[in-house]
Amino acid sequence: MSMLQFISKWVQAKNKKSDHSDSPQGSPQAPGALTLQNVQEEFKDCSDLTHYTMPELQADLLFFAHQLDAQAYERDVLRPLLNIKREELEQLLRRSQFIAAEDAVQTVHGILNGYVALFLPQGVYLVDAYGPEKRSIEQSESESAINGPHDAFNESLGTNLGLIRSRLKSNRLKVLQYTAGELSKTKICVLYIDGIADMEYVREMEERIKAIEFSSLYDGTMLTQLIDDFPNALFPLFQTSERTDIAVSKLNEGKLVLIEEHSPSVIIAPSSFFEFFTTPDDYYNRWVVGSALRVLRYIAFLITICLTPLYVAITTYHYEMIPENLLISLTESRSRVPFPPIIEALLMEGTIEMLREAGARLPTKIGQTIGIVGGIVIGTAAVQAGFTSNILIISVAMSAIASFVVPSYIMSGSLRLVRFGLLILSGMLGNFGFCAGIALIIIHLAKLTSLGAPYTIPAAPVKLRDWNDIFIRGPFWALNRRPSQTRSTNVSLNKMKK
Amino acid sequence: MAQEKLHRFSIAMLIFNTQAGVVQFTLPRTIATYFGTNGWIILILVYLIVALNIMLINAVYRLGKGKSLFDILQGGLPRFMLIPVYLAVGSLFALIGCLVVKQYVLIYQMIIFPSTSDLMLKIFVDILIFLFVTKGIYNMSKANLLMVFILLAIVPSGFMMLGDFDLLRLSPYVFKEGRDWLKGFASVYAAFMGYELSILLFPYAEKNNKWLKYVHLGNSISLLIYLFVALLCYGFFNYHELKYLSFPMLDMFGYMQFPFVERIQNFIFSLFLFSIIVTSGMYFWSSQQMYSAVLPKAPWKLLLFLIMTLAIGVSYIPKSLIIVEQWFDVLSLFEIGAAIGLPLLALLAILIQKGRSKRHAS
Amino acid sequence: MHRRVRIGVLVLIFLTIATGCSKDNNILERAGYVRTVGFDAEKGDMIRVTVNIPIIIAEASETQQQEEIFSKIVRSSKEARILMQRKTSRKMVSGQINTILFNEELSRRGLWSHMDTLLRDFTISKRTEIAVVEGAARDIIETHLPGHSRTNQYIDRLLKKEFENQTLPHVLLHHFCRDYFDEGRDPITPVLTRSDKDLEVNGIALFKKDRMVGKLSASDIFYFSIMYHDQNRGEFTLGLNRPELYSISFHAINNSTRKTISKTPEGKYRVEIKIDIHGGITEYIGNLKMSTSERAELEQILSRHIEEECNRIVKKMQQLGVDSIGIGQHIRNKVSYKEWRAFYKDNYIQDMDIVVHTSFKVKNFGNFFY
Repeated sequence: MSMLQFISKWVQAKNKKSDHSDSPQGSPQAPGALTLQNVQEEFKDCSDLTHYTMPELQADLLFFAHQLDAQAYERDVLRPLLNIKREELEQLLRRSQFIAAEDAVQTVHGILNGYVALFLPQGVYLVDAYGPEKRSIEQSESESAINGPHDAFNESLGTNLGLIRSRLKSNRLKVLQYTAGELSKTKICVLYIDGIADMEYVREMEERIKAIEFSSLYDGTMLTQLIDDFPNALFPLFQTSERTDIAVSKLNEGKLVLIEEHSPSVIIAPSSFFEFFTTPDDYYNRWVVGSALRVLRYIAFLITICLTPLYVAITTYHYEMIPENLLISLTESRSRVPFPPIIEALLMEGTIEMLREAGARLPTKIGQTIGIVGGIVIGTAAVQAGFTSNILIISVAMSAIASFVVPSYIMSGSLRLVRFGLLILSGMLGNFGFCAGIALIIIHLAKLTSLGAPYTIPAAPVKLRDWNDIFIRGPFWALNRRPSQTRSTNVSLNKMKK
Repeated sequence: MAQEKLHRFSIAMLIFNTQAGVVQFTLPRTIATYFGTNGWIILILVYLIVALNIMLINAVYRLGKGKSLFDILQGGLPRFMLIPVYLAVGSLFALIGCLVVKQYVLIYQMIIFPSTSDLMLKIFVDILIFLFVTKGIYNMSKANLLMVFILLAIVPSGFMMLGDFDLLRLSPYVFKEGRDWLKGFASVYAAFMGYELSILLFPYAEKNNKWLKYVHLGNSISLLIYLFVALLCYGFFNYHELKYLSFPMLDMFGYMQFPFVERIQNFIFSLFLFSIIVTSGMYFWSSQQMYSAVLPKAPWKLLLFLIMTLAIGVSYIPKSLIIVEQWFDVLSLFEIGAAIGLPLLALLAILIQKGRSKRHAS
Repeated sequence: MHRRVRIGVLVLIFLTIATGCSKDNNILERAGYVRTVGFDAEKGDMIRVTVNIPIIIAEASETQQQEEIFSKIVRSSKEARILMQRKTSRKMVSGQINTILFNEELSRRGLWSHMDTLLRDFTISKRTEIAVVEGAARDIIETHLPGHSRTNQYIDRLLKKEFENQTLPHVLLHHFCRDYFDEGRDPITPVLTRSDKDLEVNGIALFKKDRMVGKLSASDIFYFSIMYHDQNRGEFTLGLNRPELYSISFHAINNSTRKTISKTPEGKYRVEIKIDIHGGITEYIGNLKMSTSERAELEQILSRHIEEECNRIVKKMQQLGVDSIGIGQHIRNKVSYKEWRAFYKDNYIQDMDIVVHTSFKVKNFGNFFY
């Protein structure tokens, strides 16, 4: 099925707003009675299904070997069964790992989820031995850390939960589990700290996850788009991260953390626009340095969306804004360029975007070559050939670098797109177009909400007490309150109300 | 989720940004022309009168127990009497909303884009305003906050002018060589216009009386900004020269110099688009509120669209800045009437209702 | 409905953008931005306008700086612009004018009619330097002086540097207009002149309203400046033919000037200008010892001398009837409005007693302890 069909199906489903249950009786068509034959029939042509027989016990085992953890299988299934006699079987089955299956549907579902189905004359039992192959805990590629913990989430739900549990030793950390995706049956865990997180958000999130109608989910970043408030929003409405310290700190602030099975990106909800410009590194530096870094990031944000558009606006319409010291060199470099500034800028910005995209898809070694070819060879040659002015090259390069200063890759993508919009508007109407573009962005931003909470908090609506952890990174004694976006009843960060 | 209430600080900023606008660029000249030497003092007087008017509006809120203006009016007065009032005030608001844009665009055309069609620029701004207003008052207030922050960031640059500021040029005389004080008073009063829209915010504000003070806060910020601009102009230029400068503030920004950019007046004036969007947006929103009270069944976005389309048509009539300013002079008189008349009418309605309920009780 | 509105709006925006590219573009390299404008008096009421437009020519991969210079005899500067527009390959724009030169004859005729265009045009910066030139402005703009940077840059940098070092009162178009409009002060401009292969700041032109009525020589600039405003840097040198003071030079001049107004029994205003000056000696040829109490003697001599010079300049201004140092403003701030109206008339400065008192203090005398 093509992606387009996926989407159209999803849209239709969403419009219908049919209540979708996540019960295990979901997709496998209800088979007949609970017999080995029937279940085997369900898995017809599934050559990877293992059928293991134990004639002495009249037992049949059905399972997917690759879904199992070999140790658990041996400990919980194989060894107990091999070491007993037929008479002792009754007693053995009373062990807690043996769950009696009620019908064929549950059995099929269990097998799919990494259970071993044990067919006995007494009945059918399911044993959990789930433990597929997984990546070990590694550093995050997309969010590398200089300071702070280096273990990042990986694709295993259990590992991810473990990483968080081991950092928050509190029974208040609650985990709600849902499944979504018609085919993928992806597990989604909603984590929150009881007493800190606002239950309104938990309920809202639950509703949204239950409302998902999508055939299969691949990543947390995709899930954000299925649960967000405005599907047409330009900016990501939920922060995603692979770093454990971010997830834990956000839980502590009173936000929800969503972990999707098979995805290293956890989702933090609700998020604010300004949170996308913070990193945990800010907290590991001295607060003055941390604050300076934040300011630097906001400057980078301004540069990445404004610099090239302003270059275009000024060189096209507002030549009088150029100070005389720059005028000659700017005119000189522009004088050999045959296109108007807007075309020139779109060309160069387009090239940089292509370079970035090419570099992102290629192995590191080739990626470097691309960088050199693109950056140095094309750049120099373009200027020498009179294709672009060297000041534009500087501006384009600066805004490209600045776009990578923004910690969130998804946000940086949005910002780059915004820049193109502003570029076109500036080329059309100069400063007027530029300001109109900014106004458009502001109007758009003001409309957005993240899980129902205002997206531009704490700037709009103004929450002054949050400013010391958003625009700067205040000293820890000043950071004693949870952000107001969380609407937490436990406002004080350090002494929790019981 | 339930409709969130407007935070009181948001209301203050909304009022401030509705009041402030292009008028800042011309205000020093207006003051100098009508009030002469040290005319900036008139701002404080006008501010006090405006504050009285706001108190009148506050009284309506207190006595009306937070009900919306329309509920209050309809509680005491017959609907057939109110409909002409709604229509008249609604049209007035729409006209002001659209002339604000027209004025801005004409100035823009004059100083930056002499041969670009003003209609095109105006439609461009109108689209932004339509998008702005259709987001609803709560989101408007949020967008307004972001815009106000950007606009207020310009204020510190005013301190760069202090080097060329000289108290000597202020002269010790007060209101000498002015003329037409009454006309001047109306013009300065019009600069503070925008606070009267707070009467429509009743149902959207927090349900306590605290926010009423914040209307005064918004008004005070406007005063401070106006005072700052006017004082700076009086000391940077002088009152005689001010009379001859179309846009003293632009000249002042033009005088500023930064290492990598100079003559930022174009940019600053473009930034004031934010202020225009809010000012005009608030007036269109109020106009739509009025019309919605007449036609409660009509979808409000459609109504807004119709109002704005009609307003664009009307705004096509005045072709030059001078004529727009003449229209403004007339409209601002009506607007002053509305600012005082609406709360008085509401108070009357409350009185009638009280009298009626007393009669019922006895 | 909701979605349709949104789509409609997007379409509208797109249409506006598609049709809405402004025609008012001044793409940098296609604009010929005028840097220097000169106005000369011609026969009748005509003027000669000379402009200098630096242009950059791209040939293959080389770029070359050139200047386009046009000169026309016209009635007004915008007429000149229209005539010159026919000659240049660029779109002539005036947003980057940084120097405006008037020749002396024109200045004596009155500048206001030419100022109109400078003030009406939004693109002209109030930061533009203006200067009166002795001789023809055209001459200065048209000739490339060997050994100097291009003339437009040369004039601009020369004046900027002088302003920066406070060896010349900081006068730009803004200050000129401001003083023109204000009561109790008359505008001034620097005077430029061509001496051989160089340009030279050669004094200060004193204006009465918009008409130049007199000129202070280059050696008077210092005395004028200390009366004109407070300085915090600047240099100054003087020589007297006496053994104590053959020649002396100062740097880091720092002065504060106070003007006190009082009324004499006859009803005249008496203005006392008190100037405290501090400066560091950089050179001294004379027979006094700086390191001893003889320094006070030197300070005395200097104070006297500066006082005399200042008084001389004040006399000159009174003779010309111009109030270039803004004494009128000080009076205005002292008296009632009625009194001011009665007093403020043409040549009011002539009805005043103006006395200058100076006290000079040597701040340091450099590395040579003698």
